[in-house]
Amino acid sequence: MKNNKRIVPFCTKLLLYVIVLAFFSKDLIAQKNYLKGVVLDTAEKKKLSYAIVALIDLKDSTLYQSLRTAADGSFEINKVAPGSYRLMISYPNMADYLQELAISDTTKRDLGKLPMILEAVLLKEVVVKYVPPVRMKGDTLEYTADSFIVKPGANVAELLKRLPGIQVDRNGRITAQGKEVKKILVDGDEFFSDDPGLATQYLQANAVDKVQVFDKKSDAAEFTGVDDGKRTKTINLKLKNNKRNGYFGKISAAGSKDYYNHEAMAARFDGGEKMAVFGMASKTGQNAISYNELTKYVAQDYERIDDGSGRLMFMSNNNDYESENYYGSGVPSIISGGAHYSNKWKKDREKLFTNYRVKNIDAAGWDSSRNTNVLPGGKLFNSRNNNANSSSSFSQKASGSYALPIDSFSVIKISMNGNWSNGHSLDTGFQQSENELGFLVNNSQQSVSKWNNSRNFSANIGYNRQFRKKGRTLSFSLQNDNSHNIHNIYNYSANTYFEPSTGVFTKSDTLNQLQTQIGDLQSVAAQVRYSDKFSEHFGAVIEYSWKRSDAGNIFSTFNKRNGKYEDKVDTLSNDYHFVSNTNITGATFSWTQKKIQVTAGGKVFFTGFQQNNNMINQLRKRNFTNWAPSANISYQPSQTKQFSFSYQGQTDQPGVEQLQPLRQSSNPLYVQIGNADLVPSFRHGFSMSYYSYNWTKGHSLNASLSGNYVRNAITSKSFIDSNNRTVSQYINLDAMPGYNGSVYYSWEYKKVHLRPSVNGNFNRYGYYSYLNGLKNKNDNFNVNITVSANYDIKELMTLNYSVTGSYNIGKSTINSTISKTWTHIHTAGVTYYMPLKLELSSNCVFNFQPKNASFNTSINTVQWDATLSKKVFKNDRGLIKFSVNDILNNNTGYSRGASGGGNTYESDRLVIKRYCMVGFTWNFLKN
Amino acid sequence: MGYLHVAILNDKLMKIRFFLLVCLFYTSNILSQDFITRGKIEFEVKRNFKKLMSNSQSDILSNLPEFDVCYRDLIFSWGNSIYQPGRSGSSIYSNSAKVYTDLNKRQTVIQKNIMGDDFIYADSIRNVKWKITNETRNIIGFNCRKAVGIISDSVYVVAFYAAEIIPQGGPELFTGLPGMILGIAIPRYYTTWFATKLEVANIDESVIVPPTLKKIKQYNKKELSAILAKKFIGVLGKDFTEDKIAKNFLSSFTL
Repeated sequence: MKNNKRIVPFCTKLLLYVIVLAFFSKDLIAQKNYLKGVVLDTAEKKKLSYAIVALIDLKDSTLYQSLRTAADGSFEINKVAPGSYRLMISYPNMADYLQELAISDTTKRDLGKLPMILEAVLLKEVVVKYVPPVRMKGDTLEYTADSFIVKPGANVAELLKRLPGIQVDRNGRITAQGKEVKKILVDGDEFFSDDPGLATQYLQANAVDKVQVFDKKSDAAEFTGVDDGKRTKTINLKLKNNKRNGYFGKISAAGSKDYYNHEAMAARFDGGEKMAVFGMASKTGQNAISYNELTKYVAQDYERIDDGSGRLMFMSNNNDYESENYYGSGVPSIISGGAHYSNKWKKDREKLFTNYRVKNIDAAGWDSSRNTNVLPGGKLFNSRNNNANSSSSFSQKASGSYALPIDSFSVIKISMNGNWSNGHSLDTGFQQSENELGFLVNNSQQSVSKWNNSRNFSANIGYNRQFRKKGRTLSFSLQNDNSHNIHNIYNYSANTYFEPSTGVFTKSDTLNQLQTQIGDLQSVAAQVRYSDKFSEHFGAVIEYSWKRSDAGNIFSTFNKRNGKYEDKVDTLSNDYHFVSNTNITGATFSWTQKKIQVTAGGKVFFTGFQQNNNMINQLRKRNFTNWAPSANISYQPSQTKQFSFSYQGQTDQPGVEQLQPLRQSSNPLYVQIGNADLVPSFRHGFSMSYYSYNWTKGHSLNASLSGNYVRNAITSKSFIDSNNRTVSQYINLDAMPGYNGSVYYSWEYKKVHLRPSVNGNFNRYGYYSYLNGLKNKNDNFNVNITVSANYDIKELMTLNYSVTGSYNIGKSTINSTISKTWTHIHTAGVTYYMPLKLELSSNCVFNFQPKNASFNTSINTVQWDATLSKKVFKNDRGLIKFSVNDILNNNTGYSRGASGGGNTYESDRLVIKRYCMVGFTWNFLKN
Repeated sequence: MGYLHVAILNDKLMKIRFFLLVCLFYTSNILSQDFITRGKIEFEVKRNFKKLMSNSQSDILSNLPEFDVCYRDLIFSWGNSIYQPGRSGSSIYSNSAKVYTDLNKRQTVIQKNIMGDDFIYADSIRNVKWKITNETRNIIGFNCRKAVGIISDSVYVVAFYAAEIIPQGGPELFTGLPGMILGIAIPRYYTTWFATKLEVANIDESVIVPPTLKKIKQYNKKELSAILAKKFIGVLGKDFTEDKIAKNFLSSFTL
């Protein structure tokens, strides 16, 4: 080439052309092929220097040559041996650019601009293209986790917040498609089964491949294939393949002068084997609520055979004293820990699960309330109540199950649960009531000290067998329950009564009692269930079960005398022994088509009930029959639309206590008496729901309507005397029908990253009762609408705003006063991602309670919290956090409400106000 | 061929390398992507003795620890690097071998003890046919891509290279991947080389020169093979041709 010019003077033009051509072609054949291009970052429109440009020889897929792009992103490769190559351009954090090329000796190819895409972006785009971010698979709504951007180090709860159709409220409660999520699974299995919320708290968002939301059918329905209509809203977190092995964990400490929140957690996943431990110590006021919510998740891993006698022996389902439940009074200090181990073998058919939890809660606080209670005939009482309380509880829970496949058709599963708890609480208070004339009618000083101790154990052995014929199944189960509870209640009250018309002192009495209760419950139950399919579409399940429950309850009241509680009060003491024997038969029929599924069936309970009063050796026997019909229709016109209807009916027997009060109240201001003439009531409930999702547009609609009506509902007939003493008795009275409905709609403006949603609810409920001889109709209607929107400004900022308006109407026939209250709550939150890995998030709640007919002041509060955090360490594993709670020192703990007829209440309680906290979190992870 | 381009590229890059280095030290969070062109990498070389020697009948084995661990430093600056002994590990052997590599000239100069004597010889860079895979592994914080190659006809080598380190070098005689090799595993020899740390500040680059020893001449591979063949004919027998010597002593690792 360079020689050409020298040749010019010696040659004619023609010759020149010939020579030039000759040189050119010779040149080309010899070596002069090339490949060039410029590598660009598509998002930033930046030229990428130092990108690796590699040619891979397709003959043996080995690297032929590689070089880096120049500062201007350009590259040129010369003298490539002829052949087929794959051009691979790679750059850190960018997806590889691949192109196949055939290169000959004469190839001169300018590939021009070669776009590179950030891996994260590409993933999103690829996902949008091939795996939609949200799709309906059967009745499962499946979200592809990587399609929803969360910050590195975010946990699953933060991921869930980003998913359309799922909300996580301030207390950590999760709702999906307008319904509360009760179960969270990890890879289809329970993880910390009695507190699945831990999974959302501790699992990292980037470990999750898919989030699946579905209405989990009961285990029996899943096994037999015949739908019983029972549903539990469930989230399953499907982990990424490469995250199923390895360990992860978190160590976090945060504190200030008075408050703290420390957590440590470590887990190891190794294929089917999962083990985890955690511990926490917290006193922040906020955690307490979420903690309480989390304990509501269902724990049982088998279906309990229900004989409908729960209320007959008031012992069995009495949660009042379950000391591990914290009722939100005071500021709790919580210490809690747990461990989980599970493993699977034999293609996941052999499974072992074990969980252990321990909790200690100490709390102290105060509350005060003011009530107005309106009676027929223009009478009313204004009461005030001031109370100081402290409580402490310690509880332990252990559960385990083991499933053993016997052959390819049958599995035996053994499950056990146990818990132990101790608790103590002390409430001291003062209450007084004034009547409509302004005269004091009574006051009382009270102190209640409760001690309780409980032990519960339950176990189940189940045998499930499938047959070669699809749909034919047989299952047996055998279970028992065992519980032992002791309560000691020290009651002190000094009551003073005054003449209502003059306010003059009439009398006073003092009560100083110890009430002890020792309760034991044993039950054994067995069940056999058979399902079969008669044709492709038609199937049935029949079942028979038997349960025997045996409960003893010794209730004793002692008056204090000579400094000792030894004077037994016979009228306030009893010793009962209950035995119930129930035979249950049931059948369910199902008809299934492609798009329609109908099931209908019912159960009949034949119960023989014995009640023995050991103190007077009196035996009473009752036999009764309970009915429980049910029906279900679901229609799924397409993968993304579903309509369902269900009906459930149930006989409710009056409880023993309602027939004849066994634990008589020692509160002289409130006396409960029984009614032996009560008849069973019957409850009808129906619900309809419609769900549709359009993932291309991001629209989601969920609507439901449900109602209930109780015939012969058990309600109360009360007499309130002029000293505001209440005597109450149970009676049968048809209930008012109740309805509630909800509509949830969310949509998306993808281009501007705006995700608004509207959620509307209405609720109408009411009841009839007798008050001082007059039939009273109490009718309430509530409607609330929440509008919320999420807006992402690129990677810089996320904004969210929501407003909830709530309107309440209460009516009562006692008087014509109609209470109308209107409140609106605005929540605004912002998260700002700053340089240097700083993140500022702030949340502000404006609570407006305008004045109304019941309250002549408007109460507006603003609660403003802010957190500044900085990520540190490689891969943002560390987090330094500074937070301020209630910056305006405006948190009051005040609440108020009104119901029909002019009844109102206002209350205050101890809450945590402004405080600052500094904390550090370290996440560790190894796959 | 490619190295010419690397050379041209290098000239352009030289002008901004100071800037880049400053960026590396002070503003690593601000630049979207940092590239490293010079520094010192420490490799941990681990040999599973028990497995390696499982054929030998010696009962010394039972007294040996399972792993023999030593450390090597790779000091590199653009296309030049020296691979030399680092801090001492648990290894019972002392080893002063060095490998100087000039990627631009595709030359290496190796100092090695062969049967008790030190030799220095020059060789061209070994060509390994690498297959690049999509698997990655994190080594000292770098997301390294896995490549598989074959040496000595049938020995599989698994290598991990970091795209963020520009020189296409590596420990021992391993080079030729699109970035710095931070990990090597040779299952056949139960041996791994994995980077344990990278330093970029205060590196004495004056050591990046071909190794020299007093009174020892630098040969090329062919010359040295001939010398060794002559020297060890009595020890190794006639089967050990120059080719075999070149392959067995001069092209393997410096361990």
